[in-house]
Amino acid sequence: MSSKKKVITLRSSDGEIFEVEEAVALEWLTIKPLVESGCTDAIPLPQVTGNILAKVIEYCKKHIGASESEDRKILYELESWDADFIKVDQGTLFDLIRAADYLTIKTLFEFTCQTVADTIKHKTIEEVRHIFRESNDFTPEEEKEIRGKSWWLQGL
Amino acid sequence: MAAIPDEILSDILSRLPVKTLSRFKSVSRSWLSLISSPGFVKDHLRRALAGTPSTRVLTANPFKSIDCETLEEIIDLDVGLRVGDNEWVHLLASHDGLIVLAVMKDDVLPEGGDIYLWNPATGLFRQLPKPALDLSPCYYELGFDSKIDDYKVLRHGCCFDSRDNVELVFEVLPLRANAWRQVSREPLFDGPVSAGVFLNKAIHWINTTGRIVAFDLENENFMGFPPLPVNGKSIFCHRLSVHLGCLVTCHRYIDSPFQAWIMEEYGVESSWTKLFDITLDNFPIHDYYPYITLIAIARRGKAAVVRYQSSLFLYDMQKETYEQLPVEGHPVWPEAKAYVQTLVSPLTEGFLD
Repeated sequence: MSSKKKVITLRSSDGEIFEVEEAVALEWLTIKPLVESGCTDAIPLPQVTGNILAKVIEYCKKHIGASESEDRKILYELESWDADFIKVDQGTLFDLIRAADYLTIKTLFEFTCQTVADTIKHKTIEEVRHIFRESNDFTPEEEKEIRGKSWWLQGL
Repeated sequence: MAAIPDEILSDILSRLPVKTLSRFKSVSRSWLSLISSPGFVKDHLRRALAGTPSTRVLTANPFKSIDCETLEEIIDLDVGLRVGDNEWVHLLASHDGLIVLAVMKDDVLPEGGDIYLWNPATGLFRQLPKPALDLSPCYYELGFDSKIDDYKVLRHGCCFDSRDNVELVFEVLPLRANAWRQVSREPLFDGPVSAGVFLNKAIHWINTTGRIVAFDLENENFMGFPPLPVNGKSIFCHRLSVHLGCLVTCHRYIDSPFQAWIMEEYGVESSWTKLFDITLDNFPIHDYYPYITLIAIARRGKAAVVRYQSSLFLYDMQKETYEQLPVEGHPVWPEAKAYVQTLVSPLTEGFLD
């Protein structure tokens, strides 16, 4: 391997420029064809802001190669690193999901979606409505009927 | 902040357990219609079957359900489907989170009882139409026909023809059509020794000569199937089950341990692989010769849930030890079934399913 690794340039929606190793960029399926074609210009990513792109790059750099490791120590270390990485506010978490979806980064998408699922599992209906900006558009009768249909599941 | 796109929301929600999703139906109209949509139910099912093992074992009289991995979280399921004081439940079949069961009055045999289709995770159930023909003994199985995108219940058993000859009758009930239809009537051949299992579009069972019989649920005909890995010896106590999308057989020879084999490649005889022997040396009950039934494989293939009469045990394959589970079947109707918790509805359509 040559000492000088190939670097890809990316431009966020707010014009920030980032440089990542080619190996990292190749994990992003949306831009993979561009990277493979040998594109040397900065690749524009109009749907991702600079602060989110920085987080995405940080995650992918940490994970490249490490996720497949069979060394328990490395995996354990990665797990606790992930736990720290994802300690972000709700808005950032959703931005990360959208970025992972837009860039087609499977590992990050799985991880962030699972994190949201784990977070909301035990939340109340009102809390969930707040998180997802959903408003209660049922009539009181309809809501009562739907809740009545699952009354025996409430206590589990 | 822009809303999360529907496809992403659907992906997130498909990771949640049924009890949470039932609760979240009251978030909003759009969540209700997403969680109730057939596409979402299928995505959720796929994840439930492929993800971390979440097999539970169900017993009846009364209904109890236990998580095979943790051996905790025992759910008292005496809700949704009401069973009267003088009624007994016989569990007949299990597939994709749906259970076929018979509710019998007093000492009536299962074939005389009312047949229900029930999802123990959502509590929803429906009674299936009464078949016109009495069959005895009668077996029920449940599978999915992807050609018509519908579940089908199969029932088969013996009855007499006009000249008093015994025949084997096969009837199918597609859920949407909701009517029994006779699909095959054969002169008596070797019947099943236990109810079959659904895998890869067919129901499979072992017949009295120790062969695997496969009934194609889509084309509604019998198909050839390779034999069991038995080397021509006579076997007994045999039963098929499904583990991680593969056919599993558990049987024993006279004077040999129970053994479980898995068919790693569907329909390929050379892919039968021995999973484990179940030694009875440490079996905790010695009143007479134990007859055990494999109910499920648990703990990532390291343990098996077996039934002995009405008791359930977790058998640790490495330590060869038994641990009795804190759930019991009924002494007369002790059947237990493995199932996964899904949103699949026993009702065919409906906004509020």
